[in-house]
Amino acid sequence: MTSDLESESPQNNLPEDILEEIFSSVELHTDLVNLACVCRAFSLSIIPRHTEYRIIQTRQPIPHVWAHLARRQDLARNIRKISFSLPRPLGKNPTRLPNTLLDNLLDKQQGTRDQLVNAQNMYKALEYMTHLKEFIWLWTPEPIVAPPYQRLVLSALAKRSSLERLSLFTIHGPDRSPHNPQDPNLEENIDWRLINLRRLSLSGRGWAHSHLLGLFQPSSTIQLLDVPGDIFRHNFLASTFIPTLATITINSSLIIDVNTAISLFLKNHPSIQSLVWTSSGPIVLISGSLPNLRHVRCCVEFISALEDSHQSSPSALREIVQLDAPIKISRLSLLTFLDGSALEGFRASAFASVEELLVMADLFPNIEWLSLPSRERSTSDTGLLSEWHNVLSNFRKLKRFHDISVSLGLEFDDPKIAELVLRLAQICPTLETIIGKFCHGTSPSTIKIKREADFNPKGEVISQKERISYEISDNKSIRYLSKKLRMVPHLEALRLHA
Amino acid sequence: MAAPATQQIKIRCNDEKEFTVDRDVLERSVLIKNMLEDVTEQQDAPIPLPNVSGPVMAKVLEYCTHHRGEPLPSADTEQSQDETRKRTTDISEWDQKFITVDQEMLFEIILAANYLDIKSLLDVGCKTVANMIKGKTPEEIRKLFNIVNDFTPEEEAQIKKENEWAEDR
Repeated sequence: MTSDLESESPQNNLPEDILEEIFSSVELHTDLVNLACVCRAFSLSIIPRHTEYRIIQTRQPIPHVWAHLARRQDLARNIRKISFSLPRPLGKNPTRLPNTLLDNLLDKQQGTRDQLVNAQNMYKALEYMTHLKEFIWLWTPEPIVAPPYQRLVLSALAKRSSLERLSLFTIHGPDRSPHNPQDPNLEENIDWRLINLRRLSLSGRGWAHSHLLGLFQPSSTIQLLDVPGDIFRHNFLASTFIPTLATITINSSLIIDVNTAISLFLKNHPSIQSLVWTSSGPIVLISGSLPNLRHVRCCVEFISALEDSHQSSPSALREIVQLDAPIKISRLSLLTFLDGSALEGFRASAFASVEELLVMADLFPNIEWLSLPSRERSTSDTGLLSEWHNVLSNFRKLKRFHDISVSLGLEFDDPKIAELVLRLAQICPTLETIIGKFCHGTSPSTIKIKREADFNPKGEVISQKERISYEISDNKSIRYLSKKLRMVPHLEALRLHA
Repeated sequence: MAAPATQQIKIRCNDEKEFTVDRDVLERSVLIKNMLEDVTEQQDAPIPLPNVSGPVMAKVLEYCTHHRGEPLPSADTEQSQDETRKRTTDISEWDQKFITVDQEMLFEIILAANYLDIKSLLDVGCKTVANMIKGKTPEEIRKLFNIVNDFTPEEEAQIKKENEWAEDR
């Protein structure tokens, strides 16, 4: 490093290689930029050598970047996350690629469309990435590596022991290329050594037995597993045991032929607390399965399976905390396996009357979040406001209320909705967040309720009456609600903030 | 060259402070390990370590004693040493407690780990400094490193603007 760093204090005498080690240990981009702003010498070392080498995020194959990273171990070693993923709305997932240091000749031309060279570059670059924590390949328009060479890339990832999160997508079956010069042992198991892996997501239908076996060992540290139901075709999964498994998502539209394997897998994993089940096929749960289940998002069939398994051993009630299932409120109240005092959150698919809600409030007194769809038959009676006042005041612990606009069945420009939104804070003393759509053409707004007591200068509460203000996530909704408020004079004093 | 675990080695720091230490503890330092392998005959004279002071060496030895017996990173590639470390990204509880020292000592330990070639200790030190940097403003980092700002406010603003990201994840 230059003379900038050489002065009287010992910490300024850190040699360049140690400073480089320290910079390499900084994970977040914002911290790197702050560090680069310290002085010219830091800036020269950090931009772009570090600022462009933490996160790679793209949706396209990047042969030139792989060629670059395969050539530059000093830069590749600092990559923490690689993500090939679906576009998200609102530009939240911008492309992030190394650019400044790419060599026109060595990288851009070397990074040809030769699929074998690309796979070899990927292999080499991944070998260098000793700090890589996340490798995410969800669906992309083109495969990031040609199918015949996918196994080569998997075997590089298998050695990346720093990985904490791995998401892999494959649409093709196991490597069946007649001749793969890089990979003479196609049928051999991949030797996965991901001793730090916490989250594993697999998607697509092309998973081979030999690719997967080593991922599901008793020594596995996986906490979150997100897999297609199809994967249970591999017989070994039925008897697999992952001691740390807490969250599982099983995706598929039709997995009837693997139901037995899934049932056994779920029975083998009493540690599961959270389950997402997107299949619409029938499932049978073995008696005593999933004793620690707390959070469930599932189809009607899975609710039926929970009911059936309860009927075969009705001793213990399930302490489900959050339930997100397309069932009517009237059915929820009839579910005998639920411990009513445990349920804190529920997303309903339909409800017919506010009376159902009153029954629900009684059966599930600890509901903290509630998401209601539109009523089956909409009413626009004048007593609506007082009706809702009555219903919601019965949910004494309600913190979050979703989709108020839809559940009320009101037109957007009805001032009643504004009045109710703003009165909810008084009706439900624990309410913190309201989500709803208040104007045409906007995405749902979030309204956060702030409550402050009045304090005297000594910090003592001088009034039991809280001052309530609202923080609203978008300006359009603020304008709308403010306008409507003027029609409700006694609420004018309420404060709205962006 | 395999040596009995009980063999004691003497070292002398730059402030004349001497330590007598079990050989396997000292061999956490690749520098000393190589020196000992080069010496075939038993020597009574202490090994001089002109770049390390007694108090810093005492801390380094505390680290080496705690981690004795753990596999050493092999010299060739980063990959192989990566596999010998359980967690590459976090600092273990013991290491965290160990490295909770004043800032001057922290930098001295880093320098000593670099000189003595103790990769895992260097890592712990650098990660600790990186953690200290986390969330700090450039001005706060300058104070930490005792560095004079040689940017104009406009230049600093320009760097921030050019490297802005909406989010880190």
